[in-house]
Amino acid sequence: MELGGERAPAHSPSGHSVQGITTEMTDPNSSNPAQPLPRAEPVVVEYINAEPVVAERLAKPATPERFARPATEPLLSELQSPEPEPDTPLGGQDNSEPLRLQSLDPAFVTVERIGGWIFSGVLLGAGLIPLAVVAFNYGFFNWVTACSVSAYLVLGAGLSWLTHVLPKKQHQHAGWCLTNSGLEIRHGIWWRNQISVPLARVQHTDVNQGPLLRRFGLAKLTVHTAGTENSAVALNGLSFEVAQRLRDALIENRGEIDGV
Amino acid sequence: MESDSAVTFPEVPWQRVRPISLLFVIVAKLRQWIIPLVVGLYSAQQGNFVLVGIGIVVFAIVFALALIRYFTLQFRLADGELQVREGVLFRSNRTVPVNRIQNIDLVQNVLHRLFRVAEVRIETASGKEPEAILQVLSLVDVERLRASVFEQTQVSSILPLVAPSAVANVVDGGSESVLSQSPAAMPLQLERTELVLLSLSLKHLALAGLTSNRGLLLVPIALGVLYESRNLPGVANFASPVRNRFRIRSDDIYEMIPTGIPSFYFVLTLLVGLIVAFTLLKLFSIAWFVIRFYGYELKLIGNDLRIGCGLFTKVSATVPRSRIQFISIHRSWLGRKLGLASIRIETAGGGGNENENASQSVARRWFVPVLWESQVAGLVEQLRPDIQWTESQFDWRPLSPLAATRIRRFAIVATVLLTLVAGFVWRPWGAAIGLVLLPTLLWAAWRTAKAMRYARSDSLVLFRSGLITRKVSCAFTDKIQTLRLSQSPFDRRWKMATLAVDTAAAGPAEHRIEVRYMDADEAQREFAELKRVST
Repeated sequence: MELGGERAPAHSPSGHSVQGITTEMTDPNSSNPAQPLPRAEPVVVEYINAEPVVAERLAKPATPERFARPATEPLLSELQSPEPEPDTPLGGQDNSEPLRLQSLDPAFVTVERIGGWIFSGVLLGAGLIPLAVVAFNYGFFNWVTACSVSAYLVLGAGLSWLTHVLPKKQHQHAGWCLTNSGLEIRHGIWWRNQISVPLARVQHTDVNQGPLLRRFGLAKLTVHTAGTENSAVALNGLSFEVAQRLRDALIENRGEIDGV
Repeated sequence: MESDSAVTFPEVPWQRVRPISLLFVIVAKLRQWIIPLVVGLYSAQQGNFVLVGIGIVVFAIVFALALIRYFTLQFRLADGELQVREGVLFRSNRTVPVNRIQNIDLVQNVLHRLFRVAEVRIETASGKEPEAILQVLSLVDVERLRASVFEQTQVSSILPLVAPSAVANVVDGGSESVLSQSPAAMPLQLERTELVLLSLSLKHLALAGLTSNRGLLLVPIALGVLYESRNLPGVANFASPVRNRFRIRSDDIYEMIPTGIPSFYFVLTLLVGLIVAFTLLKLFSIAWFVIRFYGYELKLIGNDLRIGCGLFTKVSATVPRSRIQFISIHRSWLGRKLGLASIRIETAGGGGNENENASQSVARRWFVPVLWESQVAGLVEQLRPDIQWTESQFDWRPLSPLAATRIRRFAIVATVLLTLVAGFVWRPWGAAIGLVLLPTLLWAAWRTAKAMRYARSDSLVLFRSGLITRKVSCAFTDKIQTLRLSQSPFDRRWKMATLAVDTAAAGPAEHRIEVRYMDADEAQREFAELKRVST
């Protein structure tokens, strides 16, 4: 505890007490108006992203999307669960409100597409060589050539779908949310994953930017825990500013117990 | 806080490791270099001295490094930290906060015991390597080190109560070991109460050996020795008849298959051979348990658990109770019949590395190698005093009602595919494999679905599974690192999901809380609930 006591003020330069948040976390309903939250930006979830994820998707039930599926479909979202999520966004928001997920930055779709097109461009270009060899060997109006060309076209169409449509779909199926109980991340279209990192278990965080991400002002946030399987939980495609604020929020609110 | 520490802990002199440690470093290096050494000597015999020359140079360098390390390695306990410094050109100065020490392990092989010294490994939750290896300390020094680490952990946790600024932090942190007691009770803690929780006699170890197949470990070693013996000139004649028998050509296989009715002699030989092999296996297993765990004793000293055991290489490991991440109880098939179980634990020290050393292996993987069923509950409650371990009383929830059907369907599909492949490869009799496979897999599916259960109590998440060896594991809600809920397309079809709980340094327990085939709605509710309690 001695070390924790020394460490905590280093991350809270304004000198606000760590126990303020801790009691806050244990009892989110006791938001005392006389004692405002000691953070400059109390509601991390609300301000960060302009795109109203849940609300917008619920408004468009025609598109069968993950966070707004009809109640008959199986879930990976508690929006359908009978009881409302007992969790509240960080900052002690209204308890009855369901968990609101933030989507990743829309620019990330573009980044993914650019990266994908570079890769599949090289692949499709390389595929032209055997195609040319076949065409020269058998002639242009031969059934072997025709088969090869159509196979190439089918593969090319598949690859184009993967590089162009998939990022958009992935973006629609990915979301994150910072609540009193921690950071929750969801992703995956077919294989769906929902990962939650309790705030108290955050060991350290990284914010990374590759050249493409930097060009678009995006970043990848990695949250490290002492765990084994999910010792690094990555959230790629946040805007750089959001990533930094999220990182600050995670570090500031991480608990005193290291959980090991 | 720094000023407080300075007052409480005056300047502490630096300590060195024993001079005898030089010998151990050299012996350890010689063991590593044994094969090049043999090769070098062999070539020297042939008149080639180049390799011997290289060997001497390398050895001189190793020796010099060991000398430097010995003369520069110093350590001390000061300001609530273990400080280790070493090196001449490249100096390293390492400080390990005492309250971050996960465990202190002690290894004594026969040579160590001869000189009454031990190798000490100090582990924290970081990385894969021990934070500090002190090779070697005398037993008196070890005891002193352990005692002072223990004392400082106690003192440093009490200290904040004296310093007003720090009180809040401690209260918020809610460190379980200290806060559960009232401040008045704390000074009593400084007296190290020693309590033997469990000691194992030879009878226990023999029973453990009987129920396990550890002896299988020795089979590849024996085969390897047999195979390698070809290269050693003296042994060749002795082993060749045995070896020739093992060298099987395809013709031999056809010769071995009896045509017509097998003779009485053939069946008798087969039976006797099987019995001998089985007996040898069990004897090897018993030997393994006795060598590893002779004189096993599990003690509770203050708030630390200490294990000591070993026939030749003695291992002693100290694990603070509050550092236990995961408890897993294994019951093998034969063990269940005899009323035996074993307990494994996981601590964050030396995080889940593949090549764990003897002390880690004993302290985690084989925490309690064997104990009677009736002792399990009492012991687990000693490991974590705040839990009530009544296995039958937990709220065990079955998996999705469709789980059994799904596993069964998988078994059927797998059987059909395998039968088709086998029938095609070994036409037409290969298809007969399906007749064996189908009942086996259906039985396995039934057992698997029946054994898998999930439960949650106030401070525990429990998971039970196992086809032949039944495993019951629990993680503590305050030690959950991440939660994962995942759903594959198949899961979605069956309205199921997988709930997984990740803890630090998972691995030694050989069991993880990963609940497959859970009902999707319930999995989602449990996910939310666990998320709420794990903060």
